[in-house]
Amino acid sequence: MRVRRLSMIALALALVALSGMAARRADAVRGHSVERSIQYLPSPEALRIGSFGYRGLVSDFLWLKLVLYYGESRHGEHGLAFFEQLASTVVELDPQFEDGYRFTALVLSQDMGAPEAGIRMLKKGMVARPYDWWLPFEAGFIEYVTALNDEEAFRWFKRAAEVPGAPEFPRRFAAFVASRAGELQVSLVLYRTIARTTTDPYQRKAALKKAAQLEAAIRGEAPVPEWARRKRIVNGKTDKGDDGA
Amino acid sequence: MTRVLAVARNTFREAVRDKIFTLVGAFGLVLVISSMVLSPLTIGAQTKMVADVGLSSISIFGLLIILLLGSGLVHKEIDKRTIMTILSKPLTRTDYLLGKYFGLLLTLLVIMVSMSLLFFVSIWLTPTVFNFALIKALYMSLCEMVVVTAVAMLFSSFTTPTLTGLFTLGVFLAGHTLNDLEAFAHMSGSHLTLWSMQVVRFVLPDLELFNVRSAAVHNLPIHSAQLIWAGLYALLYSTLCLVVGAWLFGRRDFK
Repeated sequence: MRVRRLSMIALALALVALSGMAARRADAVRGHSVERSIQYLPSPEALRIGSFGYRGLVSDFLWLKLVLYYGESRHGEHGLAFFEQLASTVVELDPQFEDGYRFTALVLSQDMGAPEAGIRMLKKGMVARPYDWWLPFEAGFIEYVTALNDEEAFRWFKRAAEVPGAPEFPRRFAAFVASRAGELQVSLVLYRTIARTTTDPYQRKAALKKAAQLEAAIRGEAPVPEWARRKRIVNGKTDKGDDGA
Repeated sequence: MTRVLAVARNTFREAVRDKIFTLVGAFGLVLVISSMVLSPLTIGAQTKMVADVGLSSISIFGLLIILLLGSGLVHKEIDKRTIMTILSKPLTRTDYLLGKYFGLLLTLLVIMVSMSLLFFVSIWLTPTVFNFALIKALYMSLCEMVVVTAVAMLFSSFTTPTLTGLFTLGVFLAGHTLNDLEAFAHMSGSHLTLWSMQVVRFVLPDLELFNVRSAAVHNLPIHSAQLIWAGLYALLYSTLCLVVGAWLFGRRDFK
């Protein structure tokens, strides 16, 4: 009886090991990638209806996919071709998801070099969360440091400052941008503020890295970073920044 | 009332004997492990994810219990012929059905409260912020389950366990898509479709009325009036199901 039981356990373990190996081989032949799994993602509308009231849960699942997709792209496994589509689906399923707007807007504008797409994402967030000053503030940040458009940056900072309950610093940045203060200094303060106030560890890490690069440039220990050198847009025209060009 | 309570107590004991509470243990494990494993991947969304997973799991596990336990509750006794012995006692068929309903509700209540406590523990273990809206969402989930249990009892009063499970699941899914179905009906432009949709809206339970999970997760206001009206709706709709169920069960031939 005992031998019989042991042989059954051994057989079960052997079958588990063999089926696991077969699955790994099949997976290796198929090629595993998050990108592949999101290529055929249904439309947000279909997902919304098909989630039968568990929209938040589906949105979380897609958010994890988005994080993995972004992680894989950082390891050079693929580009970010489906990032905006996936990000839009996440926030359409959960329109109140603040970090969804903020993180994806930063990736779109800084990693993908598409500030207009980042602003588009934040604008969606502003419709769903009109009481949230962070979203227009981040739009101002993207316009200032990535799109280098001072006028738009001023407009967004001002809008963030006007949201009831907003802290004092969006108003301060609006004033900085309006007075055309030293651009590297303003960028540095902006990045430091983001690093100090954000709850998102990715955003904090990225902001601290940029702040360190700017500090080195201001002290003259390193050249002005490429991303801070381009010409700025002032009064609808491109203009050489005082210390950024 | 004493007779109904006796059946309810017995139904609850049966559920305990069926080891249904192992589901609660599984729930706790899923919740704690998912919170720990997923936390590093959430990039700033940990609070939302823990709350979303917790609230949704409580609702899904509640539905599973209704489908697994509720669908076979009446049929089991008909199959074993024990219903003849029970009904030979001073107990009407309505008392019996109500007893089964309240017994299943009691089981659900105990399980949902236990799962909620585990959910609060997972909130406490992670940097998730507790807000009172989560309690409101749990109350609404319970109201939803009151309705779904009554729907299961209605179907189990006249059909087989498999069909009861399928019909209850169908009503649950349809109950969460009524607004979309109505939008499709408007898009079709057909008066007949629109009229049919209005009828369907009255007949099927609008379960989206109880869905405040997103609002709770993001700590948005959930008004007391919404809670009161949804509670009243759950009470009235489940009474309707039980009245129809009792009528059908009264006409059923057990031979």
